[in-house]
Amino acid sequence: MSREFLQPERDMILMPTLLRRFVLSAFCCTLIFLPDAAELRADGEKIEPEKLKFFEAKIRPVLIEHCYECHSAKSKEIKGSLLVDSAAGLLQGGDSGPAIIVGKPDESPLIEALRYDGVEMPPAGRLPANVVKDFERWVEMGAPDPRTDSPAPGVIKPQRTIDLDAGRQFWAFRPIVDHERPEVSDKSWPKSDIDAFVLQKLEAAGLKPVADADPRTLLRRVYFDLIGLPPSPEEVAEFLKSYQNDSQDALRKVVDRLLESPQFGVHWGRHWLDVARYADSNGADFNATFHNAWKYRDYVIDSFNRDKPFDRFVREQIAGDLLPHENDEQLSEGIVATGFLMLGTKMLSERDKEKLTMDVVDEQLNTIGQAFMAVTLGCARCHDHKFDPIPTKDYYALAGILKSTRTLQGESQQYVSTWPRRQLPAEEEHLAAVEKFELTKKELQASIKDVKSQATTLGKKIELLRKNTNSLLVDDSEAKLTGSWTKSTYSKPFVGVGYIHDGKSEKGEKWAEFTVRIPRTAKYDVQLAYSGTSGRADNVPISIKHAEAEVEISLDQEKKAPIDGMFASLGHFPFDADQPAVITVSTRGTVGYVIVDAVRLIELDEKGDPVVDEVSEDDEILKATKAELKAATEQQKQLEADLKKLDENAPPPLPAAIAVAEADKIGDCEINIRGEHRNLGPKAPRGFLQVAYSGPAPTFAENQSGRLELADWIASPEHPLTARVFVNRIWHHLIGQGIVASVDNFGRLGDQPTHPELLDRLAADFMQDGWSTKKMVRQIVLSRTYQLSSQHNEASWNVDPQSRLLWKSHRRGIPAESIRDSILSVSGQLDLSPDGSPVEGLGTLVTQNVANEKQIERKETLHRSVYLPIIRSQLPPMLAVFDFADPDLVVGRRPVTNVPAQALLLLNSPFVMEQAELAADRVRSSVAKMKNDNNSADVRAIIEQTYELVLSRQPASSEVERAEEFLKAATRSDDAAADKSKSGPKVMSALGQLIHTLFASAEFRMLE
Amino acid sequence: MLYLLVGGAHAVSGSPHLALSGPAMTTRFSRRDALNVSALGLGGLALNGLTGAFANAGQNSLAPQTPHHEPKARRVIFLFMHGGPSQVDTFDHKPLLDRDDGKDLPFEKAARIDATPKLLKSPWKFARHGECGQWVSELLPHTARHVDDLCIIRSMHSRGQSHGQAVSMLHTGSDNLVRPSVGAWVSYGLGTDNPDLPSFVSISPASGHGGPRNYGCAFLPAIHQATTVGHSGTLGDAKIEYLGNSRLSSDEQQRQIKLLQAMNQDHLKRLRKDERIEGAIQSVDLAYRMQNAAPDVLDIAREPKHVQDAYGVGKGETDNFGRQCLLARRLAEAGVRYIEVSTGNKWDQHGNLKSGHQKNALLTDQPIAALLADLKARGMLEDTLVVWGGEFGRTPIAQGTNGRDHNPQGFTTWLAGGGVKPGMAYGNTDEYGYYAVENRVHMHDLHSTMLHLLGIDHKKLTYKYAGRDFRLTDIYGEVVHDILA
Repeated sequence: MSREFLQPERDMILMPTLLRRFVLSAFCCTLIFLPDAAELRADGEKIEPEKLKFFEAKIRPVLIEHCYECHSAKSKEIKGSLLVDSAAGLLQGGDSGPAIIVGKPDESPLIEALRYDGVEMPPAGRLPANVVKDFERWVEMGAPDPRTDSPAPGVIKPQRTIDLDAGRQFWAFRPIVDHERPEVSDKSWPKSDIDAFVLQKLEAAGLKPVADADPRTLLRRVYFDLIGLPPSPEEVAEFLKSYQNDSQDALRKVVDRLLESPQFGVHWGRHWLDVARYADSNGADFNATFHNAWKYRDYVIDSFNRDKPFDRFVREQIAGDLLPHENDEQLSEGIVATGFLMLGTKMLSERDKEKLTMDVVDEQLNTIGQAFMAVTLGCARCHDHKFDPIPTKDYYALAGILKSTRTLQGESQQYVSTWPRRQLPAEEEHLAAVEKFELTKKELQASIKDVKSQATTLGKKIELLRKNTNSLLVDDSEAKLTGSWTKSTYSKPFVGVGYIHDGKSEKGEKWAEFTVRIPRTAKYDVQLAYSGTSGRADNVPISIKHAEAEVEISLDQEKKAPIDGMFASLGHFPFDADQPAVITVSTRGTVGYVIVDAVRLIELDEKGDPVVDEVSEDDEILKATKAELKAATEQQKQLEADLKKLDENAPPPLPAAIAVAEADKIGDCEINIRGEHRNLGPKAPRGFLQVAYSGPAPTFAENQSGRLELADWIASPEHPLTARVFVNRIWHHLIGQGIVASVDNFGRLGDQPTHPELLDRLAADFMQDGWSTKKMVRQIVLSRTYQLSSQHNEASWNVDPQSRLLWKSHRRGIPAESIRDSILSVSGQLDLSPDGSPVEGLGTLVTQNVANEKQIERKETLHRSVYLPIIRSQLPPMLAVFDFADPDLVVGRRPVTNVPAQALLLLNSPFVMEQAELAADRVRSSVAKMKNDNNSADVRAIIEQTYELVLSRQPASSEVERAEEFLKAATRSDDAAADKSKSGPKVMSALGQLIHTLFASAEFRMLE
Repeated sequence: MLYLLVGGAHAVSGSPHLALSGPAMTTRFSRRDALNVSALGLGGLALNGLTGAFANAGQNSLAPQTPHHEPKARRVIFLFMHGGPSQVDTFDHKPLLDRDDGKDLPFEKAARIDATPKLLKSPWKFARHGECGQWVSELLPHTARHVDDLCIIRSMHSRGQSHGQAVSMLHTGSDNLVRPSVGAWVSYGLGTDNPDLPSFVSISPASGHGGPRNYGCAFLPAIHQATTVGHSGTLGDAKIEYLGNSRLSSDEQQRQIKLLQAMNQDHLKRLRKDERIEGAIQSVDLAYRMQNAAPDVLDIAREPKHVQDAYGVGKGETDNFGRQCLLARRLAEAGVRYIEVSTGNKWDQHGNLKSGHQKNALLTDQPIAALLADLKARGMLEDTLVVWGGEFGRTPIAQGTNGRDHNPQGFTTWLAGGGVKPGMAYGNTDEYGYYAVENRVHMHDLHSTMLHLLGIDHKKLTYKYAGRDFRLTDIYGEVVHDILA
């Protein structure tokens, strides 16, 4: 690309003053100091004087002025490791390789940068075109450069190379060791191996675990941790009873029951959806609806409910479509699972599709890295990872696999990419039904189109007939044809059902003869109908036999017909009644297409104007045409009704998934230098993270992306990270803090494990137990560590205020979903059944990119919150305010905030107040039932029942007193309000207000 | 939708450590100290008043932070001309474009655009204005009268040939990745001047082209994302959702909140130490204070008639944007740190340049001029940085017969007040107004300059996330020193 819009002299004017001075002074310098003899090149060869002069005049000053600030030995910071203050510096180059290829300007990165082609240098502004030309010439002439100073040692920092062997010594990359249960002093405390590991650390720190949690607290904790819902008052009562007999057995029974509940998958599936940055729309620039993403959601929930081995779960999400399958169901599942790779947010309207592709690959790599391995791969996109042993080469080795995977496919509108929708296997019958439906529909649509165009033509004909009944129209269908003519309807408009053309063949051997009966002796305007456009014959010979003679005229059919775009006048001629007019269109001497549509004669009066008769509706032709039109219209109506009926009875659409496929082009990816997709280095052979892989270089199946091999490597028991990362996630959700607190980052900048041996032991157990999530959950929940109270202890607090060593249990908030679900559960409104698509009825885009865009109407649902629509950029407020995982990012650990918006929502949301009122009804009727007395339900019983239902505990007597007072005061104002505003906003009952207050309390959303 | 995440008491977050880096920051308490302090039962808020230091320990706090250097601007009002107003029809006067109307562009057009290479002259005449004599077209007669207060950057360039990328670039410094917005960074860096109000308010933001991402916080603590009023360029009733109760009288609600706080206090007593419950107690207090304070600030009816008139409030075309600008001034006055006012995606004239731009100018010109005059009259222009601009400009070549395509290659943005040189133009595009060629200012440079004016060194305002330190300007950005007063 070159832009030579600047004149040389103007260049000088537009050039910054400084540069001008340099250029001028350089000229002077060369005049004065230029040595007579040729100077030596840096490589010892002589430089011819003219070339040297050129360098000194045109090149050196520009380099000094525009480049030295960042690219010379004296620069404060050398950018891109590139020095341009010596010949060697340019030849050797920086991060992007040599800056110049001698003799080849078009291949020299320096020239590309000056042209602002990909890289833009200098950054302050593109240099004038003639300066760029000078550089091109200079490179072409061999880049003569006398500057011999080689860079001072130490100026260029030696490239830091990553020592992989040293990297493998970092705890996270070391092999997993199955540690023995450690010895502890207090042998009575541990209930399990986990407890021994924990107690050992406590004892070493001189700490003692606090007491066990009381049974109510424990039960509430277990319920929320396993299924995300509170226990019912009945479940509490039953547990308390059995707890007295055998506490551990009581707990075991509850845990086993909850693990079998379908609500377990709902709750634990959502944990994984946080990591998978699950959403029902794209977000970003074009918030396109992911119509099928919910199938992935359901797949995840189902996988946890079925306790799918986690290694299988990993494999399916990366390469489910490539895994061997035994039946269609398995294949479906595998395809849906790869939605994991699809769900990231993408800048779909990026016009540079190569850039978009690399951005999508980056998003996928980041997600795979963090979700399965807790490594931050994204850091290695532009340079070797600064903290972890991940060279850029590894990043592009993995990128090659994902670049060979199809994540984008086609465009939904110009410049806006869209994604593959993969059809899922379907029943033969279903396939046949859909095929038949589509065929019938296509046929019907074609018929409708035909009959519509017929009606239009008839309408036009009627219009013409009415306009001038004295026009005598003869359609091509009535002409006497000689030779073979081709019928067509391609160019519109036309008279009748189409027109004919000569197919540009057998010229001179074809003609069309129109005979027109003349009703009255008069002068007539003779017209020919044709569709004029380029490619037609421009000299169509037409002979007209009239009353006095036969004439031949020539018509240019390349021109559009001037009358209504359909007719061209051939001239005015006299005709006698009963002596028919004969008009013959010939193809003789023509080259392009000859078009024949119709001939029309219009009677003229003496002045030469058309004679317009009274329009007679009785005209036979008109009548007939009208009848034809009526028939056509009726037929159209019938066909449209048929189509509607067909659509109404359409078979369900074939199942499809948002899923990846293999790309058309499979292969390795070039290293993008500094992350620039247009600055390509050598190819990185596809492979894995070297630091977490040992053995011979991996091989990949031919013509496959390599996802299968990638999945096998990540899900391998040899992988140092996968099992560790996932058991740590489980631990984090159950204990409140991961053994590695930074659950998505096991790198050097992440947190160190507090109990590394325990982490390894759990990872080993996990794999030995067939990668079973449920077994791991059970193992942790049944430990004494899990059952600790969250009680404060001053002495322990002084040593370990955050209870990193677990001398007490971590208090924690319940997740956003549980807040909403508990409210619905307390009010008795919660629907525990699964829900289907949350985005049914939404179009291609959730939100249009226009001014005054309306916000979408949110589907109201009483299902569990996991089924709410997760529209990027329009998250359900109830979830968003309570630290829901941002679906734009991988979130293994949700942020914990404490902000007024949370209080405002709970205090003012109509939804929360409505549920509080419904809960009040529930309490009232249950107490009434208990007392078997509808009128005088005891206030105390009501308060106790309320606390039991909302907080799963009994109120203290002080709490009862305060609630009683509140109810009394609120009831008084209740009556007053009811008097005042019969039509005003719905007031709340006193009990409703009390429950509403409990919903807003810190205790309601906290696990102790 | 509600995104009101204001004034959190103190950190309860387990999120990454390290707030502002750099030597200019105040001494920070260690985590242990922070926990000790909160154990005394004193909330962050109370303590802020006493020492002003504790707040730095918590990233979830909006307490005022010490800037890196003496700030020139205390707050920002960003007037977002969504869609991309044309530079060659507003501030970038190009006589050659007039002369060569209809001729081919004598150099290559940008890649991947639909415009033909035919030059299209501006339908509007340009004239010099003010003492400084800067050119402004007749499209913006009201703004033209304030040209002596403006610093017009005519050499802006950015990334993103489509709206989505360019809007994201403008708001977050990234055209492709999920990053915190400028307002969120400013809130994170400086906190708020008024604890009863949010630090960052976005007035009528678009739901498209990234929507909340453009005023979101990405991986920064949620408290720094914007609170929104109105949406998609329309202010509506200027109410914030959930900031009032539809079923309870204020007496009832007061009684309810008293009960709620008593329950929370009991809970805290029972547990003896819990920073989360302390935080909850404070945030209920704060919520209630906001619920009382915010409606007053949001109520522009409290402004005298002549002020409303100046902004064009109540007048057909200017009413909506006039109310938005007036609200921006009220928020600025009340101590909100970063305020964005959006037009909605209106300036995107691929066709109908003349009628479209004319209409948009009519909607916005008078309110913007009134805002400048009003800030000046109140002495607020000195420390309020006003920024006007779109995500990109438009091509000097035609799309269709009367339209212009997107142009991130060169466009105009103006700044006013807050420590910029008034009455100047900086940088240049080529003779036709297509590419920025002289003293080019990249969007990253604009961001670093804005932060600089607010007293923030853009290289030191960092946040650690996913294994590395992030900045608004990534690895780019140079402060444009030539435009600093």
